Amino acid sequence: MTKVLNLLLQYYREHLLNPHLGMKLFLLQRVTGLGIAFYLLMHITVIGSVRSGPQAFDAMMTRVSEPAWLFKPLEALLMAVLLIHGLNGLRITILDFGSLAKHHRVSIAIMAAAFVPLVAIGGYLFLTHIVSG
Amino acid sequence: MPWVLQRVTGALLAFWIATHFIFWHFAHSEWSFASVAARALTTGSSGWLWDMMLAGLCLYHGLNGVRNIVYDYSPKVSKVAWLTPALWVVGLAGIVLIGYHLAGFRTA
Repeated sequence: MTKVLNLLLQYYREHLLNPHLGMKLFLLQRVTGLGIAFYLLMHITVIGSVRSGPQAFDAMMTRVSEPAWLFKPLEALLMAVLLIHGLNGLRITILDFGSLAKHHRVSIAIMAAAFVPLVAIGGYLFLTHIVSG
Repeated sequence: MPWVLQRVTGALLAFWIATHFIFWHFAHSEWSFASVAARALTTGSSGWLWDMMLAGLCLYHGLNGVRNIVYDYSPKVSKVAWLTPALWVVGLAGIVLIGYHLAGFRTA
């Protein structure tokens, strides 16, 4: 417990020392990464219910889609989290391999500009097509 | 090497997950076993292989990401030396489990 608190304190100090936006994105990349890993664990478990038979699978799909007012927003959140992690990951990769670190400010602006339409389109498709799972 | 592979798998995942969403999620909105199994059968074993490649990329990228975080906050690398082989065991068990799960839509 103290270890976790120390870690959080360390993060706080690092952010005081380096208040740049890139540092926030670095932290966000870790948090979203862990969140996606946790989600995929659930995704595999839910899909794996097929091994208990078609009825078990159908029952599981109902359980993870109702009530819709709870699961629909969570799915839209998943889309946003995936887009943040994916776009930021591509941004870092392009900066690294292209020796473009001096343009990091522009890269963050481009990423933010790409995020808005993608999360709107992706969020719309998620909300209209995905029941759950 | 893992540093490069983390970026290579990340870039591949961006593409693979897009195909996953389009095929499994955006092209349909029916989620009964019958509907999912019918879609799985349209692509057969090559579809299964495509899904398994996604699973492999996810497992490598995700578990290596966890490893990166642990190593970043471990003062002594020797203390967490067991982590890498342990994560490989988790990853290989994961790919077998997912392969078994997904085959359930194509054989049942």
